[in-house]
Amino acid sequence: MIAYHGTSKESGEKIKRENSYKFSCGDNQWLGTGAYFFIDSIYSESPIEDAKCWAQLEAYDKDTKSYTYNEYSVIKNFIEGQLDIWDLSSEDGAEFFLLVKNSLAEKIYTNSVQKKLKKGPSDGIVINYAIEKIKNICYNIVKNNVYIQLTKVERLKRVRYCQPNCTALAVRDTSLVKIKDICEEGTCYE
Amino acid sequence: MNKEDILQAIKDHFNSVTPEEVINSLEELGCEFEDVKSYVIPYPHPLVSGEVAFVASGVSESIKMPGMNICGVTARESIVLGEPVKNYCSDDKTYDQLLDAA
Repeated sequence: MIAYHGTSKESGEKIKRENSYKFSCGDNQWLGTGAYFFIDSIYSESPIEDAKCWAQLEAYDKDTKSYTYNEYSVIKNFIEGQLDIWDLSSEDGAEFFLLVKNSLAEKIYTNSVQKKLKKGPSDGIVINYAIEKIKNICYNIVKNNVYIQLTKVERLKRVRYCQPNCTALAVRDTSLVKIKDICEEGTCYE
Repeated sequence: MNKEDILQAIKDHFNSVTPEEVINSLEELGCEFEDVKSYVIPYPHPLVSGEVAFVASGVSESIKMPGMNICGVTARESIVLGEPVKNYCSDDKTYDQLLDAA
């Protein structure tokens, strides 16, 4: 499988030099912990373009209204090996997700619990829970069709569609990622 | 694993863990929880009349009483609320106001 990762030029060079990716963690990650990639799908016109737009837009810090980096890189990768993919866009994958999500809700909203949620579990936390806490659930990649704000207008005007516009992977085992090359570079100011 | 095995693994897991264990795991993964606060309104209370329901605290179920909605009623002789009363009073009375009126 060919997958593209967009990042700053500096990070791109570091990834290439060290031949490894760092995980994105935290509860904001849509597909849970992992290194994130865009892949070809019916929802995406071009995964390279998706990765490029992502990298360009991530450079801009809304709070400081400035760019945290000026140049981006898109890295081409092959995802190879024993791929155990949790495909959330498939019927079965969605069913597993729903069962975990609803079972979590049943447990934490029960009458006997003396704690209440300040912030609900995100999709990423549900996925991490399933993979890290449930015995015999052994996925090393999570895949889904998602909507991501990939244009300046969408971000600035907070436009958000329901229909997915790309397909993303979170690869939890980075030994599956074979870095091919930096396939595109440029500035973030287009 | 096939589909049925995965579904069974998920069901088995949730049948074997307690709510507290699930909460601990979710906290490890970055979810934030806070302790449920309990508020007690003396009962009988001039603003609370009618049938008192028995609902555990911390649950967002409301019962309707004349003049107000209250969530989380647990006790027979007193009303223990799982949330600040002001969030649930239909007439916007705060917990302190309810106490004052008691």
